[in-house]
Amino acid sequence: MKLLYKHIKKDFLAKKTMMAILSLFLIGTSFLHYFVHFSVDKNLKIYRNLDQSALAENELKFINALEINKVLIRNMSSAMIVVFLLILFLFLTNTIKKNQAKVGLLQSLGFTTWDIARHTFTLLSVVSWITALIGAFTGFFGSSILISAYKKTYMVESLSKGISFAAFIYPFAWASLIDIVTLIAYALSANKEAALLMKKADSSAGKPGFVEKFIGFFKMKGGYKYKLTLKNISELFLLVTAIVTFGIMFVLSVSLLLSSREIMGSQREGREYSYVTEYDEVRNAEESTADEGNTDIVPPDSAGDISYYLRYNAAIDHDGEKISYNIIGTDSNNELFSLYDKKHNKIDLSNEPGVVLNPELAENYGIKVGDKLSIEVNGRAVEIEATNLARNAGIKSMYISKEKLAALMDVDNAAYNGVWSNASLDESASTLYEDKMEALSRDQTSNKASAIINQSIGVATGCLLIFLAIFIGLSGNTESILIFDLLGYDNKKINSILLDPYLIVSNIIFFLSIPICIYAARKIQINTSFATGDYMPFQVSGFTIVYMFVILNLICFLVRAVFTRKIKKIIEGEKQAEYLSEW
Amino acid sequence: MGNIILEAKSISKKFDERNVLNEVSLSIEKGHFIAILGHSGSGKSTLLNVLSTILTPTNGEVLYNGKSITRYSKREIANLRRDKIGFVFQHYMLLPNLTVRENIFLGAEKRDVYEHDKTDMSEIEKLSALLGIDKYLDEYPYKLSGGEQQRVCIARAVAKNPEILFCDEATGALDKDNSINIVKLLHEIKKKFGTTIFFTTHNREIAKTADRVLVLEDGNIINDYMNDEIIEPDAMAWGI
Repeated sequence: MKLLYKHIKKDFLAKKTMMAILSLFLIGTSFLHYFVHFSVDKNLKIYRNLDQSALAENELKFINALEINKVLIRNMSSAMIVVFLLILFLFLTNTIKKNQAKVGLLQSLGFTTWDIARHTFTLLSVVSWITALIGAFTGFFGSSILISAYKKTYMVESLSKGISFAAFIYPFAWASLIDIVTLIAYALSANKEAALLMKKADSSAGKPGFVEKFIGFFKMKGGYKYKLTLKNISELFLLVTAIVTFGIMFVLSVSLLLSSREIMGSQREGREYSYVTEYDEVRNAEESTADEGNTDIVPPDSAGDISYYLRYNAAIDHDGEKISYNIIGTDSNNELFSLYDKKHNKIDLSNEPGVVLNPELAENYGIKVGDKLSIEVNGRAVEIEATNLARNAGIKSMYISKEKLAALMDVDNAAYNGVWSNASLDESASTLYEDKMEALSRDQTSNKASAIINQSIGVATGCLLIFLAIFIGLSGNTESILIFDLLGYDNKKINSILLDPYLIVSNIIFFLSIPICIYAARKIQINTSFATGDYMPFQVSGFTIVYMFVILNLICFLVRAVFTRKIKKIIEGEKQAEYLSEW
Repeated sequence: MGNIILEAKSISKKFDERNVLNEVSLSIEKGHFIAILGHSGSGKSTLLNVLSTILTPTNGEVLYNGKSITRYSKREIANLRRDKIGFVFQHYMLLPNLTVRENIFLGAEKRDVYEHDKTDMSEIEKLSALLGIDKYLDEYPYKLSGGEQQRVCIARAVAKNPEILFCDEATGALDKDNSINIVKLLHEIKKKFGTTIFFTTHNREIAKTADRVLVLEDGNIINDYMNDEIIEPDAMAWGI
């Protein structure tokens, strides 16, 4: 049995590119897992065991961020493992098909398919354990980056590295999934009698497959090239999976990066004030200014420009779900704060018959302009129509004219509980807007720090995936390339017949998959927004597509170079016949 | 009857509704060299594959030492192949990433004593000397000629001391001298170990060296005879 294992080990390890990429994929995934867990588990346990009521706001936010990161990494690593298992399955079925004569021989020598599968998954399990160990080692050291980000963001001290037993074991348990996939691959690909395996008899051989029928249906010019190149539907499926995965990861990571910038930009736009003053109770502007005895409030004339607003807690009833928001009533004719629509046109609230929404409500909840909203404002149920979207609406805020809100809430037109101003009005209630922006900036980066790192590694993994998919695809053409070489075709012609179509198809798949990638990335980002409680505006532009296109073609170029080198080696060594007759 | 090692009872084999073997019945005595003669597509390889358990008949049954093996489980079939049956293939089928010694040992019965169990390894060396490949034991197969690779294939099949050796066109890829040597070797193995040997071929001269000849055409045995005058492999009139 040791010889069987030795043979299988040598056979798999000889597929250097494939094994290296599969291992890198696993290392990347386990690194992500350990990177987050080493920075989260122990600290979360410590903070959960503390008296929650005694914790400061930054510490509560820290606990929340740790929990969110755990959810994000679980989803991320699960998705990556699913993709990995799919690739592994395709790799194994292709390898078994190519080696079916050897499988047949081993069966004739008295080994069962189970014996062969068992030794294969033993090998793959060993590889997956080694990659998990490397991931654990690098993740342990890498987690310092996240811990230092937590310290800076949440101003929490004495953080330490630590991982729960279950989280530590998790990547090692992936081996059992690998075992199952290996067994399925053998059961499906080697489930033939030994004699048929040895003769490489394939009952479907010679019959036109889906690709042949598809090309035949369209009677494409030069269609024979595509028939030769894309003869294996599973390779095509792998390529589609790779490109879509890469596309989703890329769009998502760019969008996450840009969304912070977008949020910060939108929260500065239209704001000319320096201070925000908010009160718990509603006041009256006229009374405040007339009340000379009130020393808490700096009179408007000595405070420079000021603008009063009304702010109430609101709960939007959306399909039975309550969305907690603020409703702000303000006047349009003030110099300190203006709302802008998506086209950067100033919104005149006095001309808006209803409420002006935050884009989050449209993007994440699907509320449209024209929808009638049932809103509970400070405990009072009202029905208001959504009449516009303000790109620079405050976080969790929607707007209405102050006059209308006052009427809805039965308060005086001059009532207010918030003031925008350029000078501090009340030491106990005024906040410098720059301080608010700084806190927002911290939240933006911290809540997404690990998401962005994860996505970036996801993109790198996606690139590996594409490399793998194209390499597998091109490798499937090795025999055809060598036959064409023996028939006297020159390299340029061979490449144009057997390699270029694959690269053209990769680009076609890329362009066709763009809408799918954008749709899926948007959905994931919305779900991440819900999970983190932060609105992350989805950002995609033409540049994102151009970058993806360039990266895809760089990978194609690289694979082509690696592959042609491999072929050149066979041809220069005059080993074409040997390769073709390999049983 | 006690001397019958293998029996086929009305075995048929169909591929995609095409009959390749039609209700073939036969009994094989222990220690015989049986040549299965026929042209391409006659069904000789299919018969050999069905008898050797690497192909299941569509109908009928195969009995090994009087026991039906057609309904054996995969594990039982694997054990039978491991312990009692050896194969020699036209294209040798040596694993390129194992040395000659390892290839031979892969076919041996006691696989678990690979760790240089002296007894077993010395058996391998004796066998290799008999087959004239002892000097290549630590080489990889690609360094060997076709004839040498076929001898390694025979060594692999014989290392376990099988009761039956199935040779499918074992000389099909070899030149005259190598072919004669291989046939001679197989006869020596038969004599030395009492192995029953099946040998498919389209070469009538090889058939003349056999104890018994089965002639196949369109999946039927059209002739089944014992050779009255068995010739020595050296006496084969090659190329005629």
